[in-house]
Amino acid sequence: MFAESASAAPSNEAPRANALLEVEGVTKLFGPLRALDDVSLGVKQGEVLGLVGPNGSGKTTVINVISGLLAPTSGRVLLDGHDVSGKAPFRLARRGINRTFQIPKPFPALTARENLEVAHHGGTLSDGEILELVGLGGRAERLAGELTASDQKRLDLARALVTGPRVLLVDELGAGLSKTELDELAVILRRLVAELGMTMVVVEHLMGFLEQVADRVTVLNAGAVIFSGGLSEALADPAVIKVFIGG
Amino acid sequence: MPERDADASGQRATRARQWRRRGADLAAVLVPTVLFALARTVDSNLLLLVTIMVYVVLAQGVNVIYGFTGYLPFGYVGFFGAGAYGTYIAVAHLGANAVEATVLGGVAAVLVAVVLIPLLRLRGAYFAIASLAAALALSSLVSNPALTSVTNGPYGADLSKVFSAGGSYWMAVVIVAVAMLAVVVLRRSRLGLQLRAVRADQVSAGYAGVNVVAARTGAWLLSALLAGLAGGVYAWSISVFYPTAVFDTTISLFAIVFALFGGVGTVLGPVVGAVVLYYVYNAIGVSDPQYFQLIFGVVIVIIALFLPGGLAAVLVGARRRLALRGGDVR
Repeated sequence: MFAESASAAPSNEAPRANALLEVEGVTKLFGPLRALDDVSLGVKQGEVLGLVGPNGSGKTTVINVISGLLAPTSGRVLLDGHDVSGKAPFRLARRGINRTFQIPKPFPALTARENLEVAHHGGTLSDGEILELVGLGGRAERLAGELTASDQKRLDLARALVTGPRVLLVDELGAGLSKTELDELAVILRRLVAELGMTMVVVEHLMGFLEQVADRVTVLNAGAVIFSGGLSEALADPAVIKVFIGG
Repeated sequence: MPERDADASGQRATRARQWRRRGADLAAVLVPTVLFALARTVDSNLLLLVTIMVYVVLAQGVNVIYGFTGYLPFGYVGFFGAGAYGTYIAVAHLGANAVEATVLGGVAAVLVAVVLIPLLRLRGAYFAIASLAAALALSSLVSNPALTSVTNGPYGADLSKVFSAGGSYWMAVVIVAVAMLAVVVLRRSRLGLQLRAVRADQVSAGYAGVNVVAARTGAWLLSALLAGLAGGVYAWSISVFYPTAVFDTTISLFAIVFALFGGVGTVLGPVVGAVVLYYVYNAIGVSDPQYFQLIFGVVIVIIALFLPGGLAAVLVGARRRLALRGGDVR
């Protein structure tokens, strides 16, 4: 799974050749706060990139910039070579970038099936197939607001899948889930990559989960990339250890 | 073979559910329309009946914009007044007949709504206040003496040359049917589903691929059209009116409370709310306004505290609990 050698990057990762998704020198300022500082990364078709870092390191901000929720202050986001920086989320969803949320945001007054019917359908799977895939096949007619937190996360994922994303941004989908649920989720994500060739950026604190799903990781600290490479190499990298453990 | 039987049984159940739904939709359009059409045989006060129908249409208009998008339009009366004056201008300056003029009143309200589309950038209280300000500005514009040659300024509009109590009554019945049909179609449509999603969470709706701005704009224009038609037929029925009468902010307040009382986001809720509360207003609102204001205030407090979904939510909740008890999760 971790075939690539570690390539510790002192500041930022160089754009990858043939990357489907590229983030080029993105800086994001919130007033005086530099949330992202010249961040670059690239993900190839069918690759899963884990994005890790301590709280406040800018992981979710990267996801927000890629998914159009935030416009970068400078730098670009490229999808298949086309600049999609700052485009509205609905346009990105239709062009093949979608995401899940750390706190799922289903439409509570709609059933699980209606949550999918709302969406722009850009994929090859039917709503029923997607609900089965994420494990909600038996709860299609339940109101989303009545689903458990775990099922709401599955529904959040399902709704993103309906749009047929080429790039799926997964923001701490595993938080709060049991070991069994995490294992099921990892299987689902790997199936999406293996069967649909989906490309993913997965933000996650749970290293065991990342080990199951990510091909490589990028480590952020204080808005900058401090490492890019395999997860096991990352865990042995002095700069990464310093950030996570101190010293 | 048992699987094939189960599939066939499932398809039959789905078809039966679809037919029940279509029947309910048809009834939702026809029942109020027919009842209003027959109402003149029970009550000869046509102006009262037209006014109730006008409020039914206005409540449905509020239902469209608030019930489906969450925008509370305190300035909704602006579209109503635009419809009334659009009708007047069509008759006085374009030589339109009353029916054509009423339709043009709806068009005038839509044009005003197009100009006010930037208001949809605002949310919550900011939108509510801005829409109210826009309505007041429109009222001032219409009543400006400098526009006397167009709107007759503060001196009032006179449509007495096309006055027809019966004609305006039947036009109001048609507009009620249009409003009911619009809400039924919207509720069953993909746009309606998208608007409900936008109302729940516009960020999520965006990631579902919904063009949030376009969906809201559609609801905004439809809502304005209904208010404009209501304003037009009201102008036709009373035939002589002043700007203060058709830009009275109480009209917005009534329409909002009627819709909330019956239940926004539903088809029949606003109809029930408008009919019940307007009859209460008619019974005591003129003779004993202080009691009506008391009742009105209590109704608003009860809605805010205990019935955010209105009467319809109580009925839907009870039906859902019964269905769940019976094993049908839907």
